[in-house]
Amino acid sequence: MSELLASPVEAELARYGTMTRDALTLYVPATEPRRHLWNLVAEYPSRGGKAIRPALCLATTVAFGGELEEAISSAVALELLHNAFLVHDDIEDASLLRRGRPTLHAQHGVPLAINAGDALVVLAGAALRDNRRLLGSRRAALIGDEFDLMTRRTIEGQARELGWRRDAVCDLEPDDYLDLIMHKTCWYTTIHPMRVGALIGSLGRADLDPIVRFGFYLGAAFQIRDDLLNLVGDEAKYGKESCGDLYEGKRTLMVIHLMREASGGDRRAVERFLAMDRAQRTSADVAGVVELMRHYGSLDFAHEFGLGIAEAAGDAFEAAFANVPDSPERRFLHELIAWMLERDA
Amino acid sequence: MPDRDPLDPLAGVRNMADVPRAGLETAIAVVERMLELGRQGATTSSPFHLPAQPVDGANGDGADAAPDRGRELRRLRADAERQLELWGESVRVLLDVAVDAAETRADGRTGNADQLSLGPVSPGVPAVGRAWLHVLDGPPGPPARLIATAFTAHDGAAIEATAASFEPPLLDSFALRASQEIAITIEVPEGAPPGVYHGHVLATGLPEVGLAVRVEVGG
Repeated sequence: MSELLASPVEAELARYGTMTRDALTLYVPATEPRRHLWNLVAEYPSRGGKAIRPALCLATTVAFGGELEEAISSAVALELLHNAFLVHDDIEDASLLRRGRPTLHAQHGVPLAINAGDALVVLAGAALRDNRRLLGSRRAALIGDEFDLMTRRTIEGQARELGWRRDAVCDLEPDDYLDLIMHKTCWYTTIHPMRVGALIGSLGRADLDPIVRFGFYLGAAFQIRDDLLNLVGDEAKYGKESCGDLYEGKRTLMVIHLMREASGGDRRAVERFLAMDRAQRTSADVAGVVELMRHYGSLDFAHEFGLGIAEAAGDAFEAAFANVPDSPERRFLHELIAWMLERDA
Repeated sequence: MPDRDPLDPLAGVRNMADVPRAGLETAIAVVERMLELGRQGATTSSPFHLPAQPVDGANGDGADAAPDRGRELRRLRADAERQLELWGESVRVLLDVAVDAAETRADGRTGNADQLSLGPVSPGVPAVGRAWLHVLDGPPGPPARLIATAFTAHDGAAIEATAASFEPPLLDSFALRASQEIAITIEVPEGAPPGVYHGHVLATGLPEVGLAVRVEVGG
């Protein structure tokens, strides 16, 4: 989308994204070895992205009374860790596309990509250490604890999902799916950035439980929509491989619903599909599973299931920001709900 | 959705169709389970409340309310916390300097208190010592690399700068007003003439960091 056509929310996201990426580049060494390391480290951040995480962190900081400058290192650390997760996830999932271009390991090979991912984690640690200068030791320690909790939750979620795929687990319920994305996606995409912003802005006094509720409803509804877009979205607009989740054997809500509803030969076909390696899954196999999802109403189910959660996000926002007065940042965060849950790319 | 009571998250659920209701009920169960897990062993803090402030030029607290009072008070708290910590850190650095000087005197070393004396050692034997470097100023930047000048005697005899090595080799210049202990090793060449050699340890990017080093080579 061109700058001129961007909505106010997209313009704000772009502003926060530019601010964070400008600060991020200062942490990437301009030394050797460039070709085999630092150029790779800078690759994903340079591709842009929606910058939802840094925007949530920075806007929440200011909404809770803080200054943007106080949160910039945390936003950078978050963005660096996010990119590290992406590099490693792309390898684990054997993904081919990231933000509309070949994944890092597809471009440079798995060993160099793993090493670049490790370097992104190390740089995130350097950005976090700067919080001591920006915030003082007490709040820097609080933010450090938040990052420890977030990385642990994310890694635990990733382990659970990879385990399901390796062990060809099929008997899952929607509760399992929501618990998975609470750990794997929501904590670091929505909950953690706002918890960090609230702690910085409130000088460590904010009640974080309402933020967890809001972040989870928002993040879960967002993820369900993302999973649906992966199946039915326009690949050019979406920026990821169409049906990539199915090629990777991810246990999305649609897959879980299909496994519950399908019977006889249909169920056995899906079980066989889920037990395959990615390399064995053909486009015809994937199209067959999508067709079964349409037949059994799995796409509609996931859409409606997500709607119930999305409905709750608005009320949860008011509870999370109940003690926060009106401000441009508070309004931006409120408007972000609709933008995240109605997007088509 | 009809009006909902924020204290009753299930109030809205009752009016939903089956699938959206199942979605919300499942989500509530998952998030409350997670919160319960987080509460185990947690302590409670005083509630946060940021007073209303003017938005877009409007005075949100009435005409007599001090504009941005809440934010100013909050900034005061944050600044006070950082200032107290900086004072504490400054006191710590001053104590370090004083204790280093006292240790040098107690060791019976002569000369400048800021000087590190190594040896006497025989030619071919490394001279080893430890010192504290104090990063009192300098802009935040990439870690500084420790380097040495050549070590020169009164008669022109010299030990090359490359004979010196450091552990750690880098000084974290992000931590301003901090001190860092380093170990220095000078590989005294086999053919070095006996004498007293003088040189300096410096840190790239930190112009105020400088440590004089005296190396005594015996016969």
